[in-house]
Amino acid sequence: MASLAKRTRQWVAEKLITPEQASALLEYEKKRFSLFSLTNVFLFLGVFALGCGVCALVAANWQDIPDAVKLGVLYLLTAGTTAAAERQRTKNPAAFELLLTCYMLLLFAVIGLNGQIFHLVSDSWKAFMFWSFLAFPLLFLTQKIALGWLWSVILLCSFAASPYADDVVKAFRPFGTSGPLFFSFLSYAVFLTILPVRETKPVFLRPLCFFALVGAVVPLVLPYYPYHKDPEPWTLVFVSVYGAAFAFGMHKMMPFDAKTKKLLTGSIVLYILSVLFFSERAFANNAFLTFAVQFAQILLIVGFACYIKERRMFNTMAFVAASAILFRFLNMFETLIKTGFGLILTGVVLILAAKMWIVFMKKMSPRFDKEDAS
Amino acid sequence: MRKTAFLLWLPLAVSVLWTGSLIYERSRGVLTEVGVEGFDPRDLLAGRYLRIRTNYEVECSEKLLPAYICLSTPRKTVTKAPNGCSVFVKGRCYVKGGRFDDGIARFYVSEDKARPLERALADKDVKATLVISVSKDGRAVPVDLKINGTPWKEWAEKGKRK
Repeated sequence: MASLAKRTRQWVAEKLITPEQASALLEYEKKRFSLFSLTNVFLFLGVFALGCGVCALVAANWQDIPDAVKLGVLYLLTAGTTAAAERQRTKNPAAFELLLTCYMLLLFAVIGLNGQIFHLVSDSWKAFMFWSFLAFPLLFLTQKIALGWLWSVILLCSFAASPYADDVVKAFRPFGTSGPLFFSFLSYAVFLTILPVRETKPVFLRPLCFFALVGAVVPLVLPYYPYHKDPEPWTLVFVSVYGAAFAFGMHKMMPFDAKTKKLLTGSIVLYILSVLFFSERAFANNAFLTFAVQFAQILLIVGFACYIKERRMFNTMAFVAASAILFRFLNMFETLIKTGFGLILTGVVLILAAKMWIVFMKKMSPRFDKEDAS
Repeated sequence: MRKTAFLLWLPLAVSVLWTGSLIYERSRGVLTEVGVEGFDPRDLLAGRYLRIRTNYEVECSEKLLPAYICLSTPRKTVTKAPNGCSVFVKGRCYVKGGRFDDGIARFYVSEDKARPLERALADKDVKATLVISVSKDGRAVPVDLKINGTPWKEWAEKGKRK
């Protein structure tokens, strides 16, 4: 409060606010509930000590507590949390979100306790995947996107650690060297499909949209050339037909303007051509051509972000593009960089790139600002 | 409101059903004992456990997925559930001459008793057996661990008193 009084005095002196506004501000802040008041700190410490004490007591006597009691208490606690959440849903949304988070954590505890009591043989990924399955209905109730992120990350990590991930990798093997590129194409298609509707169910569509974009971008920054493997001929036909069908669907159904659709068509055509070219050893073994195709695809995604006025996506993708160029530069001038001249050149390139970025963004900003204002 | 209640209570109902199925599976099975050996790492979700390996005193005749053994002697691995056998266990044989894997790998114990139990399992003079509950279709789940014929909790208490 003292710091606010000091700041308001400064604002009054600078004629940013009137003395009346300053006193109104101070009055408002005095009345406001503060989480960090001295009494609240003591309250928090008391509750924390109580909780720790209960946990310590339970932990010390854990083996002597009968299994039925452990399970019963945990289920009662979970049921209590569920009932409380149901009551608070309309009355107090903040309390509802807190209870929902506790409920999700308790579901973890339920899985762990059952595993312990029944001596279940289980890999960790199974426990986490089962949790994702149990917690899925709760995503329809929460407004907190953070819970959606937590859920998506746990599901993706458990899937990546599971044998199903190997099955996915195996499914892309017939595509040979073009496999990761086709995966990128599929992920980009998923991203484009979700993007226009992501705000309808933001809790899990936003993370899904993000991960689909990550799935599209990662194969575009991988170096392929040392690992050439011939694809099976049917995969090339499959990619071409799939690409044509997707382009048709995109034109007919996706809510983008004509200019954006043209850009997306370019992106799809480049994907198809890249997959076809990557099947050729001569092309895939050429590091520069591989980089050029991948970089062109990244630029098309940057362009798409610019057309649909998604500033954050634009910034991220531009950063990816800049990093790709930087790594390419470092790779090309690897030995040169160890010399004084090389370091000077690197420095000049970095400064020029930063300057060009500032100039470019100054030109681009009004485009995004218009959207923000609207 | 109904939809909210449904979505809220569904995970809990599924969890309760899961626990119920585990209790049912354990209670309906036939109790039997098999030899056991093991060692002790840590688990992410469920605290401390003994990693155990059951010993049915049988070698895999070949790679069998799944494999079955009848618990009456003489024991041998077969590809189909054996006819006329009252208690049989379903598992896997990964290689010829290898161990019959019934899927049991963990036995959860309290932290202070894990070390003595681990030492006991490593001691050749100690006879450790696992009480398992075997369902009609051959699935085996651990129920209790016995050290020289004494349930592990009693054995640990005796060790404390000494």
